[in-house]
Amino acid sequence: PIEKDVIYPPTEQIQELRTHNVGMAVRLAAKLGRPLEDWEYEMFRKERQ
Amino acid sequence: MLKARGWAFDWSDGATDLITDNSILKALLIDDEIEGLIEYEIVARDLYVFAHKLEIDPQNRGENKRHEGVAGVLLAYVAKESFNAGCDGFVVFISKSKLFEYYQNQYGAKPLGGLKLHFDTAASEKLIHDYLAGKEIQYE
Repeated sequence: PIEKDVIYPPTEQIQELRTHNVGMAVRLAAKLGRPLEDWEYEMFRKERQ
Repeated sequence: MLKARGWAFDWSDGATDLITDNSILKALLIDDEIEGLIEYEIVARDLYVFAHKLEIDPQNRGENKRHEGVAGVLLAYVAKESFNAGCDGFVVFISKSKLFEYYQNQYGAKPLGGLKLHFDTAASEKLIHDYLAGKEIQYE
């Protein structure tokens, strides 16, 4: 069963964090006060930047 | 030792898949007993902290906890580390879908997109106030 108060290790997920500027994405989400849409998050893909 | 006490994760080795080159492992000890562990990375180039995994002793879960707020103290500590590292308190982690609402309601995490959650500056300040303020904690 899924335990509360546990952060399960990430999987592919790490690779996705590596390829995006998550620091800037998270600041935009904080500024907007809502989660980012997929296309907004993709703007922070590093190769693209 | 931890496995025998019912811990689920293997904490003997650090995470192998990392964003940067190294992760940091911190334990919360209460009266010299390990009550919780958290592994995180400071992603300095992108100005945020990523929490890889968090687990608390089975006796701190459920109805009759030995100690309250163990996970909160560890999350607040990482939030504090984010401020110390110049990351403005930003902390990111990936949640299981079943815990997505729980982390928002219990700790003030905010959705970033997908299953990613985060603490922003205000949420981290609140975590620190709620879980670290007023406690005598030795940091090593």
